[in-house]
Amino acid sequence: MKKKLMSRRKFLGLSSSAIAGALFGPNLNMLTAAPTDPFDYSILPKGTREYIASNCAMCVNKCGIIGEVVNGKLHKINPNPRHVKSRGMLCAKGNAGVSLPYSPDRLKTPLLRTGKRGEGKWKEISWDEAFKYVAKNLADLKQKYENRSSVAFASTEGFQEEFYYYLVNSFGSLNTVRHTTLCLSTNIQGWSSVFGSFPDADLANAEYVLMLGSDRAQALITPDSVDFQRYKPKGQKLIVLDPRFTETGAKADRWYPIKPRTDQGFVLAMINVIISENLYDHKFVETYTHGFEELKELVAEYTPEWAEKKCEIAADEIRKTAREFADHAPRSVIYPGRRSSFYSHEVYVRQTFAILAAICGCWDTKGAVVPKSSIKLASHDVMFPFFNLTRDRVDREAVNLVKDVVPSAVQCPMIGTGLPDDSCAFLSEKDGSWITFREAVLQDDPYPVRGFFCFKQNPVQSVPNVKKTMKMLEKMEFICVIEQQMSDTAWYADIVLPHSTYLESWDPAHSIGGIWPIVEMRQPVIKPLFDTKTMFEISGGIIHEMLKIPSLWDDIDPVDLVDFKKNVVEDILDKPIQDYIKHQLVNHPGAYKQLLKEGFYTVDGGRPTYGKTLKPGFRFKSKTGKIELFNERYKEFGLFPLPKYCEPEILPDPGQYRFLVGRTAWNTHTSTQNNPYLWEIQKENAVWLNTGEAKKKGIVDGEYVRIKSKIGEQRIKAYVTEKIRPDCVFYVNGWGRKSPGMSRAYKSGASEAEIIDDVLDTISGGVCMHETFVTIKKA
Amino acid sequence: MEMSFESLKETIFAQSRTLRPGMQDKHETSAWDKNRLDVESALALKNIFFYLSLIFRYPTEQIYSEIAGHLEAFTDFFTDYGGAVPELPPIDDLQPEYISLFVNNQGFVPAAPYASCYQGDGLLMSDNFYRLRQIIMESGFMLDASVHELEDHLAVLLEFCSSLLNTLVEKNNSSDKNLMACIYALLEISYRYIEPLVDDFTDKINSYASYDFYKVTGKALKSLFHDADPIYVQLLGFRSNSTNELQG
Ligand code: SF4
Repeated sequence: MKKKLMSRRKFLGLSSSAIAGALFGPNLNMLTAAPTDPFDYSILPKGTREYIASNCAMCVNKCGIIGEVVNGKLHKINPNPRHVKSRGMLCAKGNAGVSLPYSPDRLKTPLLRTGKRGEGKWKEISWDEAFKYVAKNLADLKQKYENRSSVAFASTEGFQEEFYYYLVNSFGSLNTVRHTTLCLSTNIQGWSSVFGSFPDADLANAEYVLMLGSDRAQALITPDSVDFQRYKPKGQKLIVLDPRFTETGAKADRWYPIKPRTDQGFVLAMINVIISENLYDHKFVETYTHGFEELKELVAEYTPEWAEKKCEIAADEIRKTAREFADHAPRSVIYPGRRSSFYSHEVYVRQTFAILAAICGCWDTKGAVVPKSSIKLASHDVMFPFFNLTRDRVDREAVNLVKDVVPSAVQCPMIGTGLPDDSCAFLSEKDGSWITFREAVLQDDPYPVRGFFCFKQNPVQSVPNVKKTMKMLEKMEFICVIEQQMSDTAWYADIVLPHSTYLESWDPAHSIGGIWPIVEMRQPVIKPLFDTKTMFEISGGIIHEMLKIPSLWDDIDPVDLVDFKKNVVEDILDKPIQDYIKHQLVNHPGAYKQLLKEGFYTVDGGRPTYGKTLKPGFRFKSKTGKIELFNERYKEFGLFPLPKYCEPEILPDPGQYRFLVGRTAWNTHTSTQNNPYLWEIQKENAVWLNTGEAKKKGIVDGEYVRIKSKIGEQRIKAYVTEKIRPDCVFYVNGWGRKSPGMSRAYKSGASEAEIIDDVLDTISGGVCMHETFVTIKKA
Repeated sequence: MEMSFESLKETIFAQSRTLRPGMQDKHETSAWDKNRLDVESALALKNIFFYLSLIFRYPTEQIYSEIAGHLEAFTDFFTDYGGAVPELPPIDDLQPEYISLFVNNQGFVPAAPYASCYQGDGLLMSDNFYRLRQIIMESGFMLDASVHELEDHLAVLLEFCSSLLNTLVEKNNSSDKNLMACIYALLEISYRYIEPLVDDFTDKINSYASYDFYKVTGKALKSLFHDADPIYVQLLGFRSNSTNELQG
């Protein structure tokens, strides 16, 4: 031992070459001399503890938070007890946000791909190099395809997204795709077809609440998830319909295990009862609605006995629910919820819900569904150039592309010429339609799309049918991903730009509409740990480099360019973001200070206002200006104007189960499974399988099974339970990751994107995640 | 009475002390006779620390050429501590290798080069991080404004140790009353921040590296810090309770 140590430590000897070889070059030090003498203890930072208000971004709810920062480190995230929307709640994810900036896995510096796509070979580059590289690729694609829409831009909802659109509009592409068609586009479309807007539910004041397919105890929405549990008014009745006995069902007065895809039948039968028994609100119907007689005629055949055969809920129960609903009106809520990417006729399901509310007068009054109010912010006078080389969106121009992914029962006559578009308010311009967009790219129809930007979206995991998404990425000549983590999509990028976390950035003010409208803003709770930037800075950097390339501006009026440089670049992007925020709040004296102090701002103490759409002369956003029980625009476009019951088009083969997907309260889609604190709560997902079915197959609880659909197969643990109907199976999303680097989520459980077929709803362009059938066998 | 190396080490872990009270402590200031510093060994170790610091930084062209240019000078060190002289891959291979091991892989970092990740819950800026910032500042250093890194990045820690050894050597003949503080800082960085990292860190390199370069240099780093007691005893001239064994 002694000998070994002696010989090993020979470098310590006088003749060591380690001394001679020590002439390192200049400028290699990472450390520098502190500005004062060493050991001058007066310069040492004193221990500090600060409390900084901001908003959570671990999901879309934006709950109020107060960061407790000790010696510059975020020690804890506390809920903001005064926050009007989140009501002092901070969920598990919100608490776990404390680890986000401190994750060693986060992206730290811009990375440029050096190997093949997906091979994982990267080199570090500076932000200047990154901006130049991105601008050059944009210029090359524009030159090559002579069409700015040959570059597509995907993003997800968030405060910085508006600056992403500065980049999109500065380049001039019309191809944008957002998460909406993966989530709630059918819901927005269905409710808007009746009321012209998508409302909220006043759960804090309702007497009777009917929830179909929403698991508010798990898939959190504020304030609803708080109100229906903590602030539920005395005597409020909750009726839940769901093929699963959910956490929400457990809190209900009654739970009905409805057969999947038949919710519309249940509600149509309720409408039938309410009309035939004369329980509807005559005055409301006469004053505010259009098309009651046509509705009455339609629903005449939808008796509770008819519905019983569809929904497998006793006719008497349907009748009882209808009577109770009408009895408590207008303080009855049929709950709109959020995600509705379920079935191919989902727009009609949501239209039916809205019509039930309308005929009972449960609209825009205390305890009903209420249109969102909002606080108006000053907008910046931004004029982007008009580019000549810009073609229309691919999902609008696409011809004959979506036939294969649309069940014929809901195909509209427009299908031959692509989706119905914004001209009749079907498809939101910016949101696009993920499935249609992907089909168009795959088939180069109507034109090639070869550039792809992705801001905080992870389509490889979140869009059904992974194989098609991968093929789409393969077609791209340039992929830029702006992210916090090396997501599955970022892994296939050519360049990855690291975005600061929500705890390190200034985010612009946002007006959040609702029954309790507020304005929110984010300020940095801590200093950025690494060389990351916000979208505000990233867009500014890329646009500056774009301005150095003349070919990027040769299809616009030179006067437009001068205006753009002045109004967008100099007046906004070159200034501190705080100036931008102050301008947004110019009409609300004191709001900026209030936002710094509290993280939110309200007017009138955040009190709700009811009845603004019921005032004389108010025009609903519909063709007739009324609440449309019969949709005139749908008629014009050859769609069913009334909520005719849509029989299922895709049917299971013997031995197949309908596949259902959902969420838990401790994970947000695909973004949080690797969080160390949340992983402690759940380490993998499991497929819910009815006890009787499991017994037939000899599957026991906790055993691994293989679940197989038309498009893929996954391995997952079985959760054998009475809490699900025998005709369907269920698991939560976000697991079974492709990335071996998702150390906690890799191969843990199963991915839904590998299983779910890409079925499309043509009216909203939304995906239908519950139209896939699967088989199950022991693994 | 003169302090033994073992009791000196214990004081580092015994309490969350700052150097300041240490400096005021007569017992501690008299614990070390600066004439015992083995200057040549200190210089050699200083250079090894600095060279290792270069190795565990992202290999820009400048860093890569420094690593390549000085490799020969450290042949003995790597042979003894790493079991071989590391073979330096071309820069175009080393850069992606560095990123995939230490910066970002698909969703995770196999061998995070931050001391905090090997303490507490494995996240950045653990409870000891603020203290590290204090030690660095107390010693008269700070991160250069152009460096977007955390102070507990292995490369920064190694450079800091190198700088502390430099201070010890340069001020050895002066009456600088803060030499003892330098020793405390050196030992605390070595034992509280670097040593707890080396085993896991090198294991992970071994599992994920495509080339031998970081395996060999990682092994040398690990062996060096496993050998830290006798090295520091010899270099600083402390009395050791196990003198023979340690001083060789
Ligand atoms: S519900 Fe939870 S994750 Fe979502 S914003 Fe609120 S605290 Fe954050």
